[in-house]
Amino acid sequence: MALQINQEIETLNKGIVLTPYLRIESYRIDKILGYMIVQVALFSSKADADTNKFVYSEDITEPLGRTGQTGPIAVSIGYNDESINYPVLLEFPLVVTEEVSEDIYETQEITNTITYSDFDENGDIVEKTREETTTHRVKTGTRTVTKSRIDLSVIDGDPYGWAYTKTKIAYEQIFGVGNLTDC
Amino acid sequence: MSSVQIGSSNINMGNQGGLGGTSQLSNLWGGTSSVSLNNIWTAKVYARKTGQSNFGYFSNKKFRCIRLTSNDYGKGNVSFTYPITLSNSLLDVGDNYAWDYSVYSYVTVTATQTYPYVFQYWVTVSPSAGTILSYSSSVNLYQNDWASNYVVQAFFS
Repeated sequence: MALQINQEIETLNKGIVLTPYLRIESYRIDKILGYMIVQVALFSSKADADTNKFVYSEDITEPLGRTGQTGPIAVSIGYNDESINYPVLLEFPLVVTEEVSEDIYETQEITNTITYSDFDENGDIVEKTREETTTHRVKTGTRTVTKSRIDLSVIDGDPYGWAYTKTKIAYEQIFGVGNLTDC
Repeated sequence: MSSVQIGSSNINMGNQGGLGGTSQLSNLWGGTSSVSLNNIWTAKVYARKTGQSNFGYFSNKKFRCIRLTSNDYGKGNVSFTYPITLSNSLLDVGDNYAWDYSVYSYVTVTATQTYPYVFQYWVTVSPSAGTILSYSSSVNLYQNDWASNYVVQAFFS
C-alpha cells in the first residue's frame, strides 16, 4: 500500500524524480485527543523505498548492514519552479460533526434587603436593614452549535486504508487532484 | 497571603493551544514576560530552548541529539535530509535541534563531497570513537544506534 505521485520533482539528493513514491512510515492513534498522526516519506521508486526498511528487527542494530539505505528524498524539493518542503507529518482528526444544544448563561446582579440587629445610642436592640448586591450566573436560554465529537470508529476498522485515503487528499492539495495513484 | 516565586526561566508548559497560546498565558500570569510553550502538535522537531544547551536539556528525555561534523569542511559538508533538511554552511550541524524518536523512526544524514575530494565513510566520534557506520554518503540513523548524545563525522579524503 503506497501512493505514486505522477509529477516530476527536483530533489537535493536523488536528482530529477519523475514519479515519486509516497509511503507512510508510521501510524499513531491518539485516542484521547482524537487524532491519527502519520509520518510519511517520499522515495524515488518502490525499489528505493524497499531498501529503506528492515526484514528482521535484529538488523536494525547493525548500521553497516544498511546497505542501500540512502534515506528518503530530502524534504526540500523543487516542484513547478518553486522550492517547497513536502510535509512529513500529517494529523487527521478522528471526529464526526454534530449539532448540539448548548446553554447560554449570563451574569446578573441581584439586590437583596438584609435585616439585621444593632444597638442604638441607649444600648437598646433595634432592627435595621441594608441592601446587598450579589452576582449570579443564570441560564437565559439555549443555542445550537456545531461541534466535532471524537469518534474513533470513523476509521471503520481499517486504519491503514483510512490513513492512505486521507494522505492522498492532503497530497493532492500540493500536486493536484488526479495526480496521485494507489499502488 | 502567602506567595510563591517562580524564576522566570523555570516556566515550561506543554501545548496550551486551546487556551490561546503564550498571549493567553501572559494574561493569566500578569507581569511574567518569559513564558514559553513546547508546541507538541505542530512542531515535532524542537528548536533550542533559550539559554540552554540542547545536549544538556534533552539528553535524558525521549529525544536524541546528533551533531554532524566533517573531518575537513574544505573537502566536504554534512547535512540532515530527513525529516527536515538542515545544513550549516561548512560548519557542524544539529546542535540547535533535537529529534523526537517517538514520532520519527529515523533521521537521514547526508555527506556532500567537494571536488576533487571524495567521501569515504561515516564514523562515530562520541560517546565512543572510531566505529564505522556506513560507507554510503547518505544513510538512515535509528534511535537505538546510541543512548545519549551522539557525534558522528563524515570522513573525506
